[in-house]
Amino acid sequence: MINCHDVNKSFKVGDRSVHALRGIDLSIVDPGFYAIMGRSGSGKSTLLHMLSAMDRPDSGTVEVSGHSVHSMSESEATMFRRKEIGVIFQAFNLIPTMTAAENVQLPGLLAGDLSKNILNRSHELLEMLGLEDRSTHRPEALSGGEQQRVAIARALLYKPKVVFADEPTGNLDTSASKMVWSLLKEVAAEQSVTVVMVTHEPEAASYCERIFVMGDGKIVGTIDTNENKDAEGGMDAGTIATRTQHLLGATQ
Amino acid sequence: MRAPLRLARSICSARPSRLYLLSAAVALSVILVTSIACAMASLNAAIIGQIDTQIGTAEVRLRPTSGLTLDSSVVDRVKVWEGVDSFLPRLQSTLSLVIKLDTMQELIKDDPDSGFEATRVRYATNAFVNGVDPTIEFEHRKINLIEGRYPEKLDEITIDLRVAQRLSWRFVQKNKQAQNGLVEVNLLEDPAAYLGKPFPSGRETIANTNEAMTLNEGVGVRIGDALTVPRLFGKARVLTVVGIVEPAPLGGKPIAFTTIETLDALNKKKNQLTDIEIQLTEGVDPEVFVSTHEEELLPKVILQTTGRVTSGVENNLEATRLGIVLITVISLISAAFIITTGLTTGVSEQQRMLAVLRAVGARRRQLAMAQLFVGCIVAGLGAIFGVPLGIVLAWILAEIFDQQMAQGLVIPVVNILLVVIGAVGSGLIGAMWPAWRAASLSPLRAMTERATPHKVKGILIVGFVGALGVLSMASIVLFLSETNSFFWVYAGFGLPVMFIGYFLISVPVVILVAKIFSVPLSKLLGLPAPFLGRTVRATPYRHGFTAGALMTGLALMIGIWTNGSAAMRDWLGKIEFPDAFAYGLPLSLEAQGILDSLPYVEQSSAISMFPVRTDAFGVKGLSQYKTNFISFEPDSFFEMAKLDFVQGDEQTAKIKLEEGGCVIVAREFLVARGLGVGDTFECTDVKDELHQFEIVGVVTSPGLELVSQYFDLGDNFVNQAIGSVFGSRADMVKHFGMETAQLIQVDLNEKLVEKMGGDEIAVMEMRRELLGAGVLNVGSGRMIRKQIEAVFTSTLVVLSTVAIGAMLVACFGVANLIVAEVNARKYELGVLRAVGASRSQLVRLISGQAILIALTACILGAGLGMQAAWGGREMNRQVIGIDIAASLPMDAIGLAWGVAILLSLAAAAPSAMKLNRISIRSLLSGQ
Repeated sequence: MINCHDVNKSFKVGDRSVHALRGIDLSIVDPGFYAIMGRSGSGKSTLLHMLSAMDRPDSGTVEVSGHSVHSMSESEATMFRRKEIGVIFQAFNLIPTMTAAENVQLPGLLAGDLSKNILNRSHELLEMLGLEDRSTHRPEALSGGEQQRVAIARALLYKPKVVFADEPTGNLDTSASKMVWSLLKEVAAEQSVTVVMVTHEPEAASYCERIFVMGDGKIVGTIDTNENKDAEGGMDAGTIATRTQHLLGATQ
Repeated sequence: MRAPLRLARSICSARPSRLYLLSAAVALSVILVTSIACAMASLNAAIIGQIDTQIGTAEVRLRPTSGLTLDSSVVDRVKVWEGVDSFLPRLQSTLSLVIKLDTMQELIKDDPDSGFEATRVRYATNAFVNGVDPTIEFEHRKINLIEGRYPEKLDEITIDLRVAQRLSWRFVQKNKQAQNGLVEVNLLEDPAAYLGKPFPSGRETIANTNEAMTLNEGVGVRIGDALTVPRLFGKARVLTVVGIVEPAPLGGKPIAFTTIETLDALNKKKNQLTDIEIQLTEGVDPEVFVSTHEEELLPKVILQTTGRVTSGVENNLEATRLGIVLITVISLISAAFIITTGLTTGVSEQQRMLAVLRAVGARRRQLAMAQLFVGCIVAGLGAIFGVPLGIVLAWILAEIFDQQMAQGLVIPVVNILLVVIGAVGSGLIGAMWPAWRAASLSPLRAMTERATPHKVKGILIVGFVGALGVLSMASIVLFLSETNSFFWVYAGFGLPVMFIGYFLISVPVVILVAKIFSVPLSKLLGLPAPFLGRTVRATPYRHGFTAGALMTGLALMIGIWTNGSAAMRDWLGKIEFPDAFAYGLPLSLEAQGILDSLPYVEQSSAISMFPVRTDAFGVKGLSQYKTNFISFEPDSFFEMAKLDFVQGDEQTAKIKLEEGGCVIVAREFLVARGLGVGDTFECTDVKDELHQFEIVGVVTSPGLELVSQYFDLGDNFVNQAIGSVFGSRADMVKHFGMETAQLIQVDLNEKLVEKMGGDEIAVMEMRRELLGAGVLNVGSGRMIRKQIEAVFTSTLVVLSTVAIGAMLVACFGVANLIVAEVNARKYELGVLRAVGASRSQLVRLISGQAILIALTACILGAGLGMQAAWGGREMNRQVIGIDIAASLPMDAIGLAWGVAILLSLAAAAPSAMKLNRISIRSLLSGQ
């Protein structure tokens, strides 16, 4: 499903060069809910940008759903983002002048495809996410949680095999955040989608089955949350936080 | 296409008020251009109407070369020519018309309380009377009847409204009240107003002044009244008024129509005609007809196509159309820059949304096309509202000036279509830069909240390219102004490139202005120093281009007043008119004799004027102007005309003129074509025959062509003559066959005139004395100058109104920018309020920003205005030979600057007031 080998990426900030990614190797084979965790500045968002074809590595290979993302042309990357993957952002990023339904249909509009299939699919997704009675509302009339659900629906319009979420609950309160995490887990399980979420919150990561811990541009370790399951069936946030600290500490 | 259209709709509905602001800017530009195009088309139609009135619809005309009359037996030769369908003989003469009408007069002079009594009062005027064959004349000449009918029998007369007006009480009263004695019609007054009003009849007596004056408002000539024609030699003749017609548009002499027999009875010499117009049978080529028959009648009678007469006018009307195209282009370039600024601001504001679109699969092309669609929507909305409103404005002007635009409102459909296409084009062009910006957004960069400062390199490049544009225009003026291609290169390339250049240099200039003025302005407004300049310097492109849009109107105002006031000072101011003039078509020797016999007339000089074709003035291939060949009696003329010899001297010139084959030229020839003493002046007459004269002197213009144009403005539109050359009477007769005089210039005795009460009294006396002598009008040089100056000044005022209109257009751009700025900085402004800034400080901050934009516009506008005025002076020099010196009209510049600053503040006021009301919480939350 996702395969990165020796991915490197640097940025120029003023006079100095910042190595955001150093020799990243990452492999995800089965559908499921995965997290990339790390402190601020660890390179996790940069890695997500490489995976979602929003940026290109300086070196290394990135394969997603059988596509060689690292060598795509501009046009190929656009089509890839439109139909092969879904992307969910921290700040919902809905078009303020479109209704919820229209926001979900946006990739179809961009593809010039507003066929019955697409329209039906958009309504199906809104229903699945409990938003069928909000489909004609604009973003300003939706709560934060509702807006993020619309963004999730938009990401799933073309039934992608992979969905990337960049801090999707950064702007939400605790209960809305829990709702979104549960939703993403459900989507991964029921739709056989690989969901990769970037987060710095252990509680968010506790919903995932595997966590890739990043530090200083490298993947310093992975945590399999199926070990030491608590009563609710997942590793608790506290354990995740401890293990993460341990992994990050061991690399310093 | 669907996606870009939907995205465009989304962009438009995200900030509808901003869309309306931008559309309003385009709409105002379109209104300006549309109303100017309609007004020009209506004026042009009036000019064509003037020509139709004077020349009629015949294709060929026949007239004597001498300016006198031809024998009516010529008709017998003409009617047997092959190809003649019909002919219209005419006899023209200047007559004095006198009528006595009951008018309420004070019982005791100068005592209105004594009551009023209806008394017979004498009213008189001179008119240019056309004797015609009524059976065919009015089928071919379009003269609209207001009342009554055309003359049919002997001693019947149909007068035009100008004649009727001059024989009305209201007109005479205004004449008495006016500072000068020259009678002029109020542009807005309806001359036919008296016809529908009650008037005194019988011997009624009224005590009340208002009632008496109300009755007098109706005093004027009506159908059935008798007009007496006094004659110098012979019994006066009485003519009956049978009709009143509309006057020819655009001014001119008072005109009347009667039968040929009536005029024949009044003339000493019988069976004479002034001209014959010939209608040809279908399929006969007028040029071929003329070339077949012209030799038969020469040299005393000339045959020519009426097309030759009008071709010069038609060329010059074409030139005005080019002017309209130029105005449209410049106005819409300005609108394009406003759209660029507005939409680019929008792209910056919607950066995150655009990034999301890219992230979810929007192509760069789709985002670019969305911006182009928005540009078209903005411009299209502007055109949809602007065109009808522009037509309405032009209609209002046509209603107000219905005498001048007698053909009514003319809507030039092709020009309007071009305006609409131009508006949409300006939307597309204006949207190109924002389209490129939107398309080049990387989804990643757009999602970062980091603001990046503008690259200095970019600003330097823009400034450099702008400077190149400005210098290009300067180079054209410096190096090409003496060449034939100057006009086309200047108008087609130099002007637009200079204009765009100033727009581009507005970017570095606004940075400099912010650096220099933000500190003192902050002190003045009570603001902390760093805030004011920072915003402007942070977004130099937006602020620069907005200032650029405002600069256009400023530059127009400054350019107009720089050259306009200089022309009045350096050209009109230097013309020295003689004390008085008498004008007639033609003037008789008796008229000059009467003038010479008056005790307050020191001397007089008769002048003949004949328009000849020359290539001295105008633009090759575009416009062509004639010039006046003026002949005179040398001794009296030189003494009275007060000519200054720029080249040559009076003594030598006199001798040479008497020898023949020589001319003195006006200074305009030296300025426009470098023609001076020793060079050859070439011209062609109506038969296209070339005439050559040696130039023996160059003089400052005595302004005789101005005087002639002043007395008969309508004729001027047909002849369109610029400048004068001066030759002997003998040469005038020999080369052009003209024997008659049209002007007599008069020197008055200063002391006697002062005793009489001033020159306007002397002029009124002269008019009275010349009644019946075939003089059309008399005027004083001082009064003529005053009236020409008044026309000049009112033209400048009208053009200044257009300039202020252009500034208003730009204000929508200023408003749009300020709204965007406030929106983008809401959080920052919220933080300022949270840490202690007062509401009024924020308002002053916004106002200070508007003032910095206005200051930039003032500096750019002054530069552009003066540079454009410089180019305009060179154009004047080359095209019409008028040389005017550079000057700085400080009062006009001050006024323009004041208006610009006030309008900017007004544009920023709504945003400032809104900001004043918003709470800190709302600012911080971005609502």
